[in-house]
Amino acid sequence: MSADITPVSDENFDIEIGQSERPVLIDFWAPWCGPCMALLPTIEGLASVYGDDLKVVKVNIDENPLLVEKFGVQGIPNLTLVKDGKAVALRERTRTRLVGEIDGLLG
Amino acid sequence: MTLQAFGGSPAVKSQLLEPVRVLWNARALAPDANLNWKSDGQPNSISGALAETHDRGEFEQRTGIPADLAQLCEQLIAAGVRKSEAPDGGFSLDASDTVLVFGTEWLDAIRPGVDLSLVVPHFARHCLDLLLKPNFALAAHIGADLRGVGFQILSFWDRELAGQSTTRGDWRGVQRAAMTATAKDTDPWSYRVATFIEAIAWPVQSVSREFAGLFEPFLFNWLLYLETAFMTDEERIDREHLLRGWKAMATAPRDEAGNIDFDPLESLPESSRVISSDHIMRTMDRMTAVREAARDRKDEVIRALMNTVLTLVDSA
Repeated sequence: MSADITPVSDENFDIEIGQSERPVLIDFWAPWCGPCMALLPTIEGLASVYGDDLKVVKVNIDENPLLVEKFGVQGIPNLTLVKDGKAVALRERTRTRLVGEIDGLLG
Repeated sequence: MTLQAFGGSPAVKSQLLEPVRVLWNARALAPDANLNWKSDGQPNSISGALAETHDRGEFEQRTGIPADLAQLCEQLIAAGVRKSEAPDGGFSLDASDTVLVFGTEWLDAIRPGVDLSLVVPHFARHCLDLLLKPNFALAAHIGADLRGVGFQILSFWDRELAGQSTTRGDWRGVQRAAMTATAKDTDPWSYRVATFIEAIAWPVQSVSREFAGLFEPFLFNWLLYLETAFMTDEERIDREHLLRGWKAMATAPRDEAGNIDFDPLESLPESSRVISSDHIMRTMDRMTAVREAARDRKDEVIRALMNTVLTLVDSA
């Protein structure tokens, strides 16, 4: 089971995240980051779990420095949940724990 | 989309596999759970070289083999291999022949045209069943709550593999029970078992893509345990302190950047001692001897898991 994860850039951030009516999970990653690649199937699993209730996007940090700065990303992998204009960095890394954390934030 | 191994063509299989065989026999590839192909500073992996890509989607498109299966096979080989840097800047692999032969054995076993999408789900089911057996190496360290969760997952997976459905509500109950069992667990040897069980508490076909990454620390812990048969009592106790220390570091609260702003080992002086570089340096030769003494036993476990993969590939 896999789900499409929309790539987001400095250019289309406003449309894909800023104007999204759904909460957005942002996966900050880079192709050279082994832990990011290892986490990718988990992110895809999360996208499948939430379906239309959550928009899942990914941001390549090498190509999008403005978004890195905007969200204060200091290390990757970094998962950030944006809801009602507020951004919260997620701490968990397994799908089971992430669902618990995301459910708590979505209310 | 259903994948057909090698696009159903023996010629494609040969065209992809034979160059890899030459490279693998020359030990010019390094097994890795990541698809490594022309990655910065990383030697190419077997599967990376097979499809000449580091991208999972491209790998599946070119080979017709699920990437999760390739990653699992490489991980099994990597578990039995010691990779070290060679003086010329390259690398060398130290492993028994029974482990190394699997590098191309699993690819040779694949019939062109076969759909391998259920191999990893069935392998996951096999592993969960194995760890719940009373004669599993770590059985004495798996508590009743954790075991109960494991059996629930196994029962749901069996329903799923038989074509019956489970609801998200069913799974949420199991996931909550798994997290509770993990939180209650205090045995140093069961932490990796608990986190593994907790992480696989999902429909097995959705776990498949994540499985190699989830299985790796569990297998590492299992193999580490096998070494204790060759240790003194004092060394066994030290290893438990080591595991407590690792757990404390893994579970310590982190800030948003992932940093820990206190020493998780402060309240664990014995763990702090065995994790210190001084202790590690002092015991290095002895631990190398222990690893070597346990090698046959560990290889047996790895080889049995490889044989399970081959059986599943053969029956796909």
